[in-house]
Amino acid sequence: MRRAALSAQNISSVRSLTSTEDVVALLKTTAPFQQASEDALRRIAALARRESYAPGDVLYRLGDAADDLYIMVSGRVDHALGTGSGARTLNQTMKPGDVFGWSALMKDQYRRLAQATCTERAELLRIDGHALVGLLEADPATGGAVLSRFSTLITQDFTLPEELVHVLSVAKRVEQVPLTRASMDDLVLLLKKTMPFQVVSDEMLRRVAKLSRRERYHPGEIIYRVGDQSDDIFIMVSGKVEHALGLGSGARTLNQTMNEGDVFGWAALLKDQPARLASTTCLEKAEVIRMAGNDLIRLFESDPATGDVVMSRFATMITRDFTLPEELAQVLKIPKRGEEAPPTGLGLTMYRMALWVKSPWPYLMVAGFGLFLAFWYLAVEVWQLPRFKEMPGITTVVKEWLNPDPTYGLSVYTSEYYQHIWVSVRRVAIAFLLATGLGVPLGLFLGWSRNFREYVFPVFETLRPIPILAWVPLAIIMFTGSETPVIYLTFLASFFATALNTMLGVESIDESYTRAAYCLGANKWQVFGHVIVPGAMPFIFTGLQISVGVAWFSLVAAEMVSGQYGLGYVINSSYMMVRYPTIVIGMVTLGAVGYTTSALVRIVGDYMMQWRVRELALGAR
Amino acid sequence: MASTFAVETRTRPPAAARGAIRIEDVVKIYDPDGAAVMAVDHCSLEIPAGEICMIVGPSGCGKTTLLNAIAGFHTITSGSIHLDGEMLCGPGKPKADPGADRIVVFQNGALFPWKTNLENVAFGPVVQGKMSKKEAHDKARAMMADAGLSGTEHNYPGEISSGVRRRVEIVRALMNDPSVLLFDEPYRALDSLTKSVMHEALLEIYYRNKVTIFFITHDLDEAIFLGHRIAVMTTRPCRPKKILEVDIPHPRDYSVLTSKRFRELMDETLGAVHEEAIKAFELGEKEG
Repeated sequence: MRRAALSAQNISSVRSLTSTEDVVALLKTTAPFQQASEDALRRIAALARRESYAPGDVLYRLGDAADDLYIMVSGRVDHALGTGSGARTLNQTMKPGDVFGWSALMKDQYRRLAQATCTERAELLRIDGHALVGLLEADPATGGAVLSRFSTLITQDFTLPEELVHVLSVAKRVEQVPLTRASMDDLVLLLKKTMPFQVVSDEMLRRVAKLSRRERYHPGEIIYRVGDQSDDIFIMVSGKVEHALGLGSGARTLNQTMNEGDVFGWAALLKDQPARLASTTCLEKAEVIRMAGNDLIRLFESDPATGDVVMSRFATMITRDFTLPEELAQVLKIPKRGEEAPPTGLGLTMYRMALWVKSPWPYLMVAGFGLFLAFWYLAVEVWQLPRFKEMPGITTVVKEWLNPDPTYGLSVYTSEYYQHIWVSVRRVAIAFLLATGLGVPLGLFLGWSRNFREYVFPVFETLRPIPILAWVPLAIIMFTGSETPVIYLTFLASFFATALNTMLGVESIDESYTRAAYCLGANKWQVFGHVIVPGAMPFIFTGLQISVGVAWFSLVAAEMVSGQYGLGYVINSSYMMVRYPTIVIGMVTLGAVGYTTSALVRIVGDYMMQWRVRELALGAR
Repeated sequence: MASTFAVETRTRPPAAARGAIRIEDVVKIYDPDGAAVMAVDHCSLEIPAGEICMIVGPSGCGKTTLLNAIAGFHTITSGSIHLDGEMLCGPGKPKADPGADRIVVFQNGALFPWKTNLENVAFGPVVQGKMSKKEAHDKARAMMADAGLSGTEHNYPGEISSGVRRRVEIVRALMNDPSVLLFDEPYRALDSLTKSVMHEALLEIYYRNKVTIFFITHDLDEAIFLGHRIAVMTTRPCRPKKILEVDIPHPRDYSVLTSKRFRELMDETLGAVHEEAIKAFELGEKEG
């Protein structure tokens, strides 16, 4: 508003405005209209009325309807902004050539923000704001330039520019460049140069390119303003665009210049961020690629793997610019796993399986097995190393194992083989379930109740180190038949491992959790159910994994001593009867079945502790 | 914030209906290794309802002991603590009953990691039997939305940033309509930028729910920025050494940090705290 003083010559020429020419000359000296064409100015001049005011006259008051724009011709007008207006200086004196009353040009601002009082006899040009905006809209080239100069002017005076500026109404006409086949390839190339899309496959980029439009902007044109709806994201093709972030945005640097390959307008990808955080103004004739944020997100949803990568690159980009990264970055509209229906046990397992198959790990596993089997083969059958010579070789074992008519009576074709497996699995299952059913509650109470622990723990700790084999005689005396002693022995080892780990799990719970629960009004049993049990869960499942391992371990020991079936029995009896390949078949089967049961326990654990799975997954990222 | 709450400005806390704490002559003696250690020594402190009282003192000075006594986690040896005229603990009742009228926000955060944020927030009314699970979830959702936490309801605490976690924890406390919030250095582990956001958020919550706040901290900026009063505690045994009125009017925002008055208060507080810190340091050396 405070314009550089007019030259004396200009003032004299406008002091007595008589014709349109004079008005045009005056307009030419004002900041906003300086560069408008003669033609346009003539049309604007036609809207102007001339008025004189005496000292003490009030042109408008705070809160009056904001209809007209004023341009000073002569005299002095005192302009006092209201305190709530966010202005830098509240009082200003308007001199010839100054423009004020620009509330009339603002969208959504129907009221005056200031009071204007004449202090020296003044002559003014008065232009109807509505008519002026209409005129400027009809001629976007001039209109854009004039209004953007207005906004600069307003920004100079106000500490909160974006609040005001964004409501200026500018008609924006944009040249759209039609997409041709050739430019499609260009687009892909260009996308490849940008940080977020660098690593995306050509196929995907082509699909991204299909969502894009190309647009040209002229210097001074505004692409968007703070507070505008944030629909599209932009990628610079050529030219320069100034990107000015709003003060409240928490940005590190408020102003940046965007060059070729830069991406801006990513507010379109933020959730709960419907409005622009920045204003962008074209500095040099610029060409941009523009695409709708929602289209892009939809596309990524169809290919979450790529989507995740691109979105996380966007997040990095945003984080670089902002001092408050987490506030913003976490609201990225990434189809977050947590927000949709959380994957259930099976879904999650499938998802992890799929990830695993895509990763290099399965091949490492295969290589590991390969090396091991190769060593077995070479050591026993090729090199015939001293200690290995007597061992059953891999070819002998595999041949026997897959033989429909096995030499020693046990192969995948014989029903006994499955019977042995079944008997062992059943024993382990019963023992394991018993151990879990008794061991977990025992462990929970041991950890929870000091008194209970004082009673029980010393006895528990005395019994725990006794090896399973030492229990065999007592077990046989205690239980009749061959089945129960075996189950009992298997159970014992499992039980100790489970109870001990559960107890440690309870002890591991941070006291804050129990205290918080009491604070929130939980009673003792609610604390037990809501804090102790879930809090100990990670340790419980570690315990169960160990427990299922030791169950197999003690099962074989027990089966070697008594029983007529089971894999332990197979191994032991084959040794007695010198059926060496059968020993190895029993061992390998034991390994495979043991591995499977342990994996099952892990899966159940993951299912019951979604929170932990998700936490760990985040940690690994 | 300033514009939202610029209804009236004041230096004294608003008169809240409840939440007045009276700590009278409280003594706490620990005796961990046979040798009695006096953690709190005849400490008296009165906190009017609706005040933000900041407790500042060297580490290990016994501030947390005091907080634990109010919350009902620990016994006291003698003296008494009253909340709104009702005795929490005192002669004949060494330990207060923990309850939802005084909720602690813990140093390292105590959202249950195995419950989603929504379940965490709804926990209080559900276990107290005040609401059905559905009612509690509805209210929790609304309160989270008010606090700008929409969208994190179905995340587990482990999946959100520590700053957001603290906010969820405060909302969880407010669900129970407490008279007193007890903060045990809740922002200690946060970086200073997140901290500043948390402070303004806390004040915003405070302006909406006038609760009494008993807030332990080491951070003098935090103490002056948030508090109506600052109680500087002596090093072990703990007793108020000096009580400073922070006469900067509420509502406050971060511009307060650069004001002249803030600097003056800082000098004053620092003087009192520094002396104690040196004492604590020397004591620690002797013990070590």
